[in-house]
Parts: sequence; structure tokens; C-alpha cells
Amino acid sequence: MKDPGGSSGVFNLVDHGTENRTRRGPIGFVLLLAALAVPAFARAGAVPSPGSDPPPPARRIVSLAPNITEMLFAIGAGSQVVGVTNYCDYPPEARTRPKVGGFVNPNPEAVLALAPDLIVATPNVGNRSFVEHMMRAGARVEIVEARNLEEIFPALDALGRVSGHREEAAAVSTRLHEAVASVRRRVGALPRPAAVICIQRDPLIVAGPGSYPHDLLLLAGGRSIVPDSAGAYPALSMERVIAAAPEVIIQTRMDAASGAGDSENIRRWWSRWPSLPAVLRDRVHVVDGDTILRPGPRVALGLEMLVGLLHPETRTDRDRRAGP
Amino acid sequence: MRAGDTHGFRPARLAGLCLALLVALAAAIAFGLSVGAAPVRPWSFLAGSLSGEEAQRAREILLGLRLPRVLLAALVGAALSTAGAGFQAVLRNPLADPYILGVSGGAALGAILSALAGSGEGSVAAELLRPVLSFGGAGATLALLFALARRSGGVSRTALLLTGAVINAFFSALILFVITVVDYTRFQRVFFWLVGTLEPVSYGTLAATALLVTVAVTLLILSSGRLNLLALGDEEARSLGVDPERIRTFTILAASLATAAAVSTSGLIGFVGLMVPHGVRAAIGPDHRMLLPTAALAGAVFLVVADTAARTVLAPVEMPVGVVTALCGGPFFLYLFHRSGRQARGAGE
Repeated sequence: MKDPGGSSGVFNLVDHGTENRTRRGPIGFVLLLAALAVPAFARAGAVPSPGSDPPPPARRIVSLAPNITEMLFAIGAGSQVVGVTNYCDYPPEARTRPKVGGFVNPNPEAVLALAPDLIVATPNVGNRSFVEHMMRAGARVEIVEARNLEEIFPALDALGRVSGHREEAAAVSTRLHEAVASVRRRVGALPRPAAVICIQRDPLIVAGPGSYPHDLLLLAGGRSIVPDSAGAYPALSMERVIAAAPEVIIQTRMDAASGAGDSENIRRWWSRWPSLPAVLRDRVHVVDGDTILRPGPRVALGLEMLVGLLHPETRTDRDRRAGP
Repeated sequence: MRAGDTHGFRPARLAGLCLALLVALAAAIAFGLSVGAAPVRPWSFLAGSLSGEEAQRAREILLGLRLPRVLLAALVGAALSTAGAGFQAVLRNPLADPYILGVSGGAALGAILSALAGSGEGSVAAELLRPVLSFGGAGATLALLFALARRSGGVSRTALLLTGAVINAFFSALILFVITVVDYTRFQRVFFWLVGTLEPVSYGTLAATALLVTVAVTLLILSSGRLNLLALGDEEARSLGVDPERIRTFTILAASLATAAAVSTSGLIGFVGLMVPHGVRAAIGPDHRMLLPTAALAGAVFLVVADTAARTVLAPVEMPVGVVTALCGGPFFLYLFHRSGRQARGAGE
């Protein structure tokens, strides 16, 4: 991922604070399988040396992350995807592919049995030795880092290159840039409500600086209550949340199947703190996490959802239908 | 037994010690209430100098978050410490501790199975089921531990610890198995649980925990005189009119209840039952009539302080209190193990 893809201009609204990027939430990391990355690992990836001929486009791709799967399908490489993780459920067609295990614990035999000519992995806490094993076994492995909004664009570029869909990837990138720019235009002048995206309760884990949900929250016109020093997915003190008085609380439901009962539990849990403006004004929202947790091609959907929750006054009829 | 004059049991001395520890506990609780990630101080709340909205916020932080958590820390600390002292007395093994013996692991497995059974989060049934299954897990672990020990004819110190370690590892594996088989998103808390975390629980849970801990600790303190006789050896105890088996069973049940009450609310907080009784024993001697009440209070003080550190050192990010206790307790255990080994060798020569 040496090439940032000239995308930085779009992110004036997203203040990552460079030093925060390297600090991880010390506790929550085990749980946040869907969003974690080990930066040093990624740089060890198989980047073709400039002198040699680029390898031919892969025909049999195994994707080891839900957001990678989404990106591959989005750039038209879906028919080349022959294996996915148990968590790859979007687009629906991805569910028809053979499963190779979990996100942190893919099964090496299941992967090799599919005779892939390319394995695409994203660094996470659990898969490092697996990926190294695959590389030693002679498999071609592409490491794609996509932990936040900024990294989606070089990731799309890399996937387009290895799958032979460079133009489609570029088109998707352009579309995402446009969606980001359009949201920025819409919310740029609006007041920014204090807001927080919660990934988990008991103990509380929130999206912090450097994480994808946090990027989206800022872009969608929210003001974060997570301090810059806190890391990407900190176990934030509830005291701090109460003291910061968020006007909007967005709680992701990791597991869509748990449905309405879970939403009710979550609302009841938050209602213990009636001083929170979000509780007072009934602005605790329980949402399906995928579009805001997975750094992938559904940026526009995630952003629209957040804009709708942060700035309900801007919603059109069309948004209301598309919203949560 | 070096129950000499300076270390003997004198009610006045016990009362003085307990009073001093109660003062220390009150100070620890006051300190715990005064610090946190938010700049909220109890005195400005009590003085009524805050505006309506600020006062409401301060009330939630002080009464909704800090107070239940500090009180839970005190209860769990007292429970684990007294349970540790009880296990050490019964097993006549200074390295016994609910965590090291695997009893906490059994209790944790029970609590996790209750989460499997009850889908209604926070429902009364779930709140009741958890400590009950937790107690079942702790009791089953001890039954296993003793059955194994008895079969092999007598309990060597290291064999018991090894057995406990194996049981702990086995239960951890079972817990992870349950999480793997069942949807892991339902068990987000489990990872924190395995390390030991104190949460701002509801006052209902707090009251239930307080009841269980009070009963268990009282039972242990009531048996402390007979635990002294047990320390003289089974023959001696029998000649003084105490049935060693009965007192052992009684103490183990009470210590398991204390462990279950602690683990079902806060997970696997390690080493409290090891460090605190040892510290107290070093200070006031081995008489259980002195040791058990003071260990209960000292355990409460210790865990309140440890948890206050856990939630303030990295504020606004919190770490599990089990990290703090293990960081203190690991080296302490190694020191004790080393020292007791040296003493045993010295005695043998």
C-alpha cells in the first residue's frame, strides 16, 4: 500500500491526528475483529517489485475479510471469488461461495482445497501466522489494508490491479469520492451535534480516532466525544460519555439476527443515564453495523445513514426509504 | 503454629484492627468516589453548587457509576480474600487461592452457561441463575479437586496446585469452546470476564451480591476457631471434639459461595485471595479468629484501590481490574512459592 492514490484532498473534514493512528485501544482489540489491523504486518505484504512483469490477473481468489469481499464484488471481480469467510454476507451472491472459516481463524486446508491463485487478506490480530504459512506454502498472497476511509481507495486500486479490473476499481473510487464530496457539501454548514458510535456495551467500546466508523461520523457532520489520545477502539469510561453529553448515540448491532429484542435491550441499557441529551431526546439509535463498521464500497450507504441520524432535518423522502 | 503472645487472639486487638481497617475502607471508598475520567467531585455535588443539568449529570456519574462500582469492588475484594484464607486453612497450603485452585474457572464456566440458558438480559431469572450456576461450577471443581487428591492418597502442595492449574486451563478451554460453538457476538463480555472486570452494576445486583458475600464471609468467620484446631492436625482436632471432615466441608462450601458471588458479577479477578491473607498473616499472625475478619476488610480496601487505579490510570480509557491484580499478584506468587520451597527444604535438613 505504498500509493495513497491521490485521495487525500477529500479528507479535509477528517482529522485523523497522525500520532493517534498508531495507538490502538488497549483492551477492546480482541473483540473488534472486524476492524483491526497490525500496521507493521501489512508492510511485509507481497508487493511486486517494480522491475518484474506484473503477474496475470487472478482467476481464483479467496477473500479473507468481509470488506475485501465487498470490494471485489463491487469492482466486478465477484465471479473470480471462489472462497470467502463465514462472515462474508454482502453482496448476497457472496454467501453462495464456499466458506473457508472465520475472519481471524481461516482454515488453511479449506483455503488450499479451493486451489486459489490469489489469497487476499487484511491484517488482523489472529491471521498473521496463517498468512505467513500460506506464503511459505508458495501461495500468492495480497495484503490489503483498509482500516479507515482513506485506505479504501488504495485498497480498491490494489484489488483492481490483481484481479484485472483496474478501470472498474477506478470507477468505484470515483463514485465513492463523489458520495463523500456530496455529503460534505450537504452537512458542511450545519451545526455539528456531539455524537458517539458504540460498538459494544459492558464494557463500553466506542469508535475512536483512526477508525472507519469515526471517519464516517466526522464526515457525516458529527462532533466526536472521543478524545484524540484514546486510540481507534477504546474502552471508553462511561463517566466520560456522560460528562461529554452526546446528543446522538449510535449503537451498532454486530449481529443482525438478534433483531428487535436486542434493540430494546440496548435502549433500556442507555435509558439508565437520563441526563444524556441523546436519551432525553430519544436519539439513541440501534443500527446494523456492517455499513459503518466495514471499510468497503458501501461508504455512501453508511454515510447516508449517519447523516440521517445526525441531521434528520436534511432527510428527503428518498433517504427515509433507504435509511434504517 | 507460632501463636505466641504477640500474635494471639485478643478481642480488643481484633476490634482495634477492624476499626482501623474500616477507617481505611471508608477512606478508599471516598477516594474512589472522588476520582474518575470525568471532572466530577462529590463535594461540589453535595454542596449543591451545580446547576440543574450539571447536578443531574454529577448524580449519574457519582451514584450511577462510581458508587456501585466502588461498593462492588469492596464486596468482591472481601469475598475473594476471605475465600482465599479459608482455602489456605482447609488445604493447609499457603498458595491456595480461588483462582489458582481453578475454583474461579469453574464458577466462570457456570456463569457463562447461565448466559447460554437465559436470553433475557437483565431479567430476574437470569440474575438469579448466574450465581446459582456459578456456585455449582465452583462446587463441582472442588469436589473434583478433592476426589483426585483423596484417590492419590494425601495432597502434596505442588500436586494440588498443578491440579488446580490444569482444571483452570480445562475450564478456560470449555469456555472458549462454548464461545466458538455459539455465536460469539452474544459473548462479547466473556473476554473481559476472563480477565476480571468490575462494572457499575445495578443496585439490585449489588444487593444480591452483598447478601451472598455477607452470608459466606460470616460463615467463614464463625468457623475460624475450628479452623485453628484443624491447623493442629486431624488427630488433635478430633481429640478436641471437632470433626475435621465436617469443618472442611463447611469451610469449602462457604468459600465456594464467596467465590461464586464474586465471579458471577466480576469474572476471574486473580490473586486477591492469595496476596491479602498473606499480607495480613505477616502483620498479625496466623490465628484464624484474627485473620478472617481482617482479611475480609483488607481485601475490600485492596480491591477498591486496585479498581480505582484500573479506571483512572489510563483515563478516559479503562482497563480490567484483573490486569492490575495479576500484575501485582504474579510476582507475589512467585516470591511466596520460592520462599516456601526454601523453607520446606530448610526444615527437611
